Amino acid sequence: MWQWLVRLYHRLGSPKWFYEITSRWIPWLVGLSVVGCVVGLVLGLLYAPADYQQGNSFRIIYIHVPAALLAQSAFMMMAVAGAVFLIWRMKMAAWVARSVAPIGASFCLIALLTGAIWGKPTWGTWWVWDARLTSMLLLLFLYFGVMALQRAIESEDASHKAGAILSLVGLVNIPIIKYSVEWWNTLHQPATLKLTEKPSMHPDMLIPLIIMIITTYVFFALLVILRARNEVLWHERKRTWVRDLLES
Amino acid sequence: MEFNSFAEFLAMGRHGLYVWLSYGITAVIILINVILPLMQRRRLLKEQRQRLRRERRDQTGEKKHASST
Repeated sequence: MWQWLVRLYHRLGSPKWFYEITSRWIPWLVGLSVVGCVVGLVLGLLYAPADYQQGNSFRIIYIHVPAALLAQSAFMMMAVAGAVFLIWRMKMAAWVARSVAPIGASFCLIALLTGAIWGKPTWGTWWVWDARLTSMLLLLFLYFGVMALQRAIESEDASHKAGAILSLVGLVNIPIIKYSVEWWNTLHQPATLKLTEKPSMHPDMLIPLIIMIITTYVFFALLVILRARNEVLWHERKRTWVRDLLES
Repeated sequence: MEFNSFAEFLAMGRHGLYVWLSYGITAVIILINVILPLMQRRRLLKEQRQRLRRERRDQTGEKKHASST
């Protein structure tokens, strides 16, 4: 088991291996994303019953909740990749961290915008400075900060280090987002899904949500891979395997 | 099916504007995230192929130069 882990780690650290294995994954990830998105949205938009309080505006949940969950997971992934780079100097991890940042920021922006639009008919306002919304906005600014650091400094190594440190510090914000609806009085409704409790949602509403959440994670993997492959090609451009690839 | 007609589906009760605005904005952001890395890849491959050709040309040029002197 341990040896297997060590071997996996060394493979993951090899840009060539990453490029080759992801070439095989991409068609599957594209297929799963498309199928999941079509099935999830047809079920969510056409077949799920309207909410008895919120009417049809609740259908925004099928993008809002998956995007918000992903924005937080992506930040954690970016921090872990940053830590791997800081501790073991694995370059591939730094390239992955740099690939994750703009994608995570995009999903964070989606969560904030759809949340604001959803808030208008539900709470009567686009925005309130409450704990959940503010900590989510802070997450977006943390993403911007990490992105800026990852690209700002002349030496690439130093910019990766700076980005990794800010993403590790920014991790503090993640539990604040999660518990904000419990610690403070807020307009935001409490979590729709809890791992420890039986969901209160009707299955016809819940199943499309679960499909959309899984699909969002698959699609995120695809986007990270697309960007990380560009990083690999750029950094390894002088190597013979990329040269062979360019000539084929 | 929750809706009896396409018009009803578009209207989403009174919430059509909010629902479709959310989905529209999301679609645009997603699309940008797909297009950007694909464009970057195309440009990267093109530039590197050009660099490779240029290097090869320079090399053969140097050899010819060396053999003529």
